[in-house]
Amino acid sequence: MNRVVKVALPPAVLFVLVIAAWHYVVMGFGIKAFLVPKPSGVLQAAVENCSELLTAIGLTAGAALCGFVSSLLIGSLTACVFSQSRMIRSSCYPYAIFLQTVPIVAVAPIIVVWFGAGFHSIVLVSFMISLFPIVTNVTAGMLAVDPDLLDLFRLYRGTRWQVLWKLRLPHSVPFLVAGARTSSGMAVVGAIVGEFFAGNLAERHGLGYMILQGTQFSTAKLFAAVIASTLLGIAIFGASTLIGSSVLSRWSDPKGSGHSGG
Amino acid sequence: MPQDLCVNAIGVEMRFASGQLGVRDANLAVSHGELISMVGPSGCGKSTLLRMIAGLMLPTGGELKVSVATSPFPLGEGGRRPGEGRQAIDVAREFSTRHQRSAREKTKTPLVPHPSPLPGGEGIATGDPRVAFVFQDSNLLPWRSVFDNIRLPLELRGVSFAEQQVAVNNSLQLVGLKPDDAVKRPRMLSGGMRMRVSLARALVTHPELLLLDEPFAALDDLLRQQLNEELLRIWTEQRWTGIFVTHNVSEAVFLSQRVLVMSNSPGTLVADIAVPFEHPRNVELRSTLEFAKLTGEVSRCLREAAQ
Repeated sequence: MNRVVKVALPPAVLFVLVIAAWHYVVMGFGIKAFLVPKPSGVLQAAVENCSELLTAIGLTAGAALCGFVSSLLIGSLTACVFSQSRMIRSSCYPYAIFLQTVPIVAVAPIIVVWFGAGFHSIVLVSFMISLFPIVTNVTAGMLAVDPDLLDLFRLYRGTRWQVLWKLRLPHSVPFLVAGARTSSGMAVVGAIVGEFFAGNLAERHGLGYMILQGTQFSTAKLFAAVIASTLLGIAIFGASTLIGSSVLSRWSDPKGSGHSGG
Repeated sequence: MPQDLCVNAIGVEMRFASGQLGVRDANLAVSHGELISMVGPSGCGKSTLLRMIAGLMLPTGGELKVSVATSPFPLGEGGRRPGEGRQAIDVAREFSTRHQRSAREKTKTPLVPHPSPLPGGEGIATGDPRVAFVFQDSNLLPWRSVFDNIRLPLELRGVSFAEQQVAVNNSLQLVGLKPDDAVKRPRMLSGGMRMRVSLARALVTHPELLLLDEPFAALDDLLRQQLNEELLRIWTEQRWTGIFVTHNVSEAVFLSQRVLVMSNSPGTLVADIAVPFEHPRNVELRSTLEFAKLTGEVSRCLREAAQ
């Protein structure tokens, strides 16, 4: 309990101080509400637009999760293929890096042109941005298998499939967890960027579109949406870290904690 | 090749892709049921020779014949590669590699002599069903329980789960592990226990030829002596053919019927010293004068070989 207080207290105090500073700076300098709203104004906007905000959080969370989960599946599958052939790896890897370095904000409009606006395009943008860390991490994990373990499988005539399924894939799980941690945060960013371009559909929309709207109509609402996106990112990152570490407790390396005797 | 030889190496040579010679003109004849040791200075090529015998590496010269029967575990109906392993149990199989070198072999680096980790490759006998290998590191899969680690060779071969269970339990008992150890994960075990699991995994296939590559090198002396005795007890019960690589002279003399001494770079076998002690041997043997004399002689050979 004491430890929880020690960990939680400093950031909580800082949080209160920042909110207070924010409030008094806005009051003291007489900053207009359309530039920087007061914290109470943001809270008020959040409460007033409660149902819209919750729907938006739900939609964005849904898109981010769809993008994240499909990047886990497709990314691991791609890594499996990469692990099987040096030629495939060396010919595809530069394009995987290209995919990562091209700005997602520039690609999103192209996706909308090709696939139209809507949920599926948002998921696609989220998927594209969260794919790369999974592919690189899992590929690295599959290739980092101890040569002695590969010899063991050769000795007992393990097939290529058995080596992949019973050795490379389980061995890459800690790497997948590390990649998923990075990807989960990026998936939320991808979903919001996707909504900037593809989220203007019907009356139900996500946080990205709400942020766009806020820039034109209400700064307090904009702030509320931005804070909600941050909280969503933290929640998804936290959940994937938690799931990851519980999975990892199975996988820890026996050599690391090794000791001889008895 | 005489009928009673399990391993017969004539002028075996291993030249790495770098041009460096790992093993040169190695001559070795091991009879069925014999337990021999190979000692030599570090890096002399004894592990390389052992890997060639296991079929994990292909000699670049000379002749290497390994004669073992096929696996006693027939493949199940749903098993892969039908037909294989169904030959009569005592039909001896021979594989021979004479001056063969695949194109792929030429591009290999000395550190990872077989970057293609998968079975296959022209002329390489990638593991005969009745050859088992114990690695220096216990080499267990950390995400599997002890039970699942030991059954791995049978699982890869498509043996039914019921048969696996029987075989694993026998193997556990053989190496002195308790049934409750079966559910533990490798990281919960001490170094000595992990080595026992590794040994159990090798024995679970009922190997006819057991190759041990410095298995107890990382253990303290007391534990090493204890496991030496256990290994000898298992060998006395089962009488497989064993090749034990070590750099510990007393271990080599205690375990084996012959000690082969390998010289330094490039490795070749320089001495073949018979160990006349009767079996079963026990720990008392280590304190006898004859034992001291023999270890002294082997040590002298080893010193000469290292120069």
